[in-house]
Amino acid sequence: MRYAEALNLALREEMHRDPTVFLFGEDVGRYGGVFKVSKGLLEEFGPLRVRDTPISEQTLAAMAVTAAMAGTRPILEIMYADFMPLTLDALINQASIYDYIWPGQVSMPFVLRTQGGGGSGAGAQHSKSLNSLIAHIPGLKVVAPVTPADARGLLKAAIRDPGPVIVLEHKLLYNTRGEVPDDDGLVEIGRARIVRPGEDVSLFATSKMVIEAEKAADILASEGISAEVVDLRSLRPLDLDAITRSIARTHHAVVVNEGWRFCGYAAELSATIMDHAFDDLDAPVARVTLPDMPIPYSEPLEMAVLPNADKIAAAARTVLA
Amino acid sequence: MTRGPEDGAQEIRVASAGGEYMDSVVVVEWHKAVGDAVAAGDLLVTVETAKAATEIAADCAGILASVLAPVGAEIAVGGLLGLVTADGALPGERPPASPFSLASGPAPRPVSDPVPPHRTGGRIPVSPFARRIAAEAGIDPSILAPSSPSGRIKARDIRAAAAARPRLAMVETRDLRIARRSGRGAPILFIHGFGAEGASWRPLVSALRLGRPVLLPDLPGHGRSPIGSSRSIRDLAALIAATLEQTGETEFHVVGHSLGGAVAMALCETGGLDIRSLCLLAPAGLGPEIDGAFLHGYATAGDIPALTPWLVRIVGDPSFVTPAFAGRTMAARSDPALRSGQADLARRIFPDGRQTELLAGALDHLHAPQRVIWGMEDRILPPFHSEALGPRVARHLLPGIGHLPHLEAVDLVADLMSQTILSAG
Repeated sequence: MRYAEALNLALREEMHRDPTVFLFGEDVGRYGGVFKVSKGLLEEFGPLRVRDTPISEQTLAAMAVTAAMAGTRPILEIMYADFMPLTLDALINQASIYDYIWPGQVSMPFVLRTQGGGGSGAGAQHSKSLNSLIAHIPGLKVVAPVTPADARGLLKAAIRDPGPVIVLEHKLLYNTRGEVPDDDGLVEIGRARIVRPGEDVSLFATSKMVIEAEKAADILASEGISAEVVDLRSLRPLDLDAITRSIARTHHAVVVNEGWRFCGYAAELSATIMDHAFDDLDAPVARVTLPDMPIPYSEPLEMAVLPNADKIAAAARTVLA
Repeated sequence: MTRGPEDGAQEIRVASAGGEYMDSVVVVEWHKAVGDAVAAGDLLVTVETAKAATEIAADCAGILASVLAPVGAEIAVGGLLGLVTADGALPGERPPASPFSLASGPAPRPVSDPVPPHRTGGRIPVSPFARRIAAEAGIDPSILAPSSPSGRIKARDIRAAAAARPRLAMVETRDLRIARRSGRGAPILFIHGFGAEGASWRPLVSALRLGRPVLLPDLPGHGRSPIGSSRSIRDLAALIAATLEQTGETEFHVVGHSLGGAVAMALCETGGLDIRSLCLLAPAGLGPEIDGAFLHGYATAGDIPALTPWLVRIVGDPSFVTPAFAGRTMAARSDPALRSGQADLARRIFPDGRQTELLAGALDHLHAPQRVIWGMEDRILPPFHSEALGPRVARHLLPGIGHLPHLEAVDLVADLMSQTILSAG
């Protein structure tokens, strides 16, 4: 099953299961979603539960917050992560705060799905991931599924979660294929996935960078280095247990994130590793990230700035040296 | 003059007021005008302090681009008087370099790039994991050389150092555990002091490079030996002699520290052993005085904060008591049964915090080479006790050293010991 199909399946399953679940966003209805994630849903569930909206992310985000507070379970699709800054006021000044200022009186079970990532020549305004901007906000959960099984399982868990959950998809993952289990397939939010165990160095990655980390692990294996690949899956909350156990085993860490370097998500992970696994580190944590600049439109330049398997393998060799 | 930023402007500044305590200088004369070509070494401007005139010359060639301090102006020391640039244009006249343009000079290094480890105060940096396993293995990372191009000591350096240590086999009888390292010639028997263990001789054994067999017994109730029922120093000596008899060896070089030194002397009284040389390190058994409070406090201390003051007392230089040293010592004493056993032993052998067995006479018939080594800052057993030893015993008093000369002055003690052993033939 393709990743996009797995998401479609999850939406279908949850909308059947819970009549308060509804989907809205730009081109999600008649068009079936720009990446075909909501294909067929308008026909199946009708225009009340699958709504096309104007181009107005700021309003849409506020709608998600208030519709959730009013007793429904909205799923808002933001077409590109690059548009997330328009949603930040609703997320930071409303969703993050309401449960704190009205404790126990407010319920905000909404899901915001978006996709990001470079590598398709979409240019600086359509290739960003902005993980750290979103993960920085208290009160939100943030997940980034990599496999089709995880896409279905985490989206379902997000929809059932009693609070706001942001699901970060990747435009280059939509067509990837993988096995999806026949059962409920729920994946618990807050648990990482050990993609492949290793002894010498831990590669922590998010989203499509997990695929790059797997390729890097292959490269390193041919050089006699055993790399452990950890798909964080859940950017917030972090699976601290998985992280500390991995470092207790390998004593070396490389963090890969398709975001900018300064104040990026990889920096948070490095600090977390320092907090919880400092005495197990045999070398400083290495970060593989975008450089602090816009993502180029020119293909060779875009490919040069994106993190990739070669850069991850080089970072691993450096920390092991 | 100082070279300016990447656009190549030379800044014309007065670096100092020529040793006088002056804040400012007055511009007296400009030797070039704006637009004039400047060669390296050309005089640019003369400035004056209260006492003397200073001439400022150009570092490199260029064109005088601006004069910021005209004749008569008073400028603070370090202030900017003017600019020389390659083409005479001012830096502000060129379009500012875009952060994304291909810079011709070296780009500023991003803040978040990793930097190589730097030494603070001459220390070689050690990774946290390496530091942890070094403490557990009793290895001092500061004496190692890093194998990593990062210049940092890593875990593999610690493991290599631990593997390079000589292997010790264990000999066990009902009453004693003895670690043994093989070698050639008569073995050296090391008898540790109260509250220590055979393993505490490791640094000294490593420093001795004689290739001899080495025997490191744990006294009863210490290290891995059971507590037993010894009530006196002579009891302990008899136990060791009986155990050594079972090895079939009769010739030994003997080294004893503190209580172990007293046991070593008592061994000389026991028949059946041919003692080839004797090295005593701050031995007990030579006078009534001993720091009884130390014996009890050290034995019963249950954690690092309780133990540390006694460690500071036992050494000459308090800085010898590093967190790693305190941690290792406490780790070896973590069993409460061991601690209370040792406190009991101290009460039996040194009742009321006094020494009752005096053993100087035990050496009367020993003709082998003999030395006693004592730290002059020893606060546990007083160095003047060494005067009780007869004229055959060479006496070495170590200034600044406390009760642990085999740790505080490893190389010197190893040297003296080597000489003693080799002189025995």
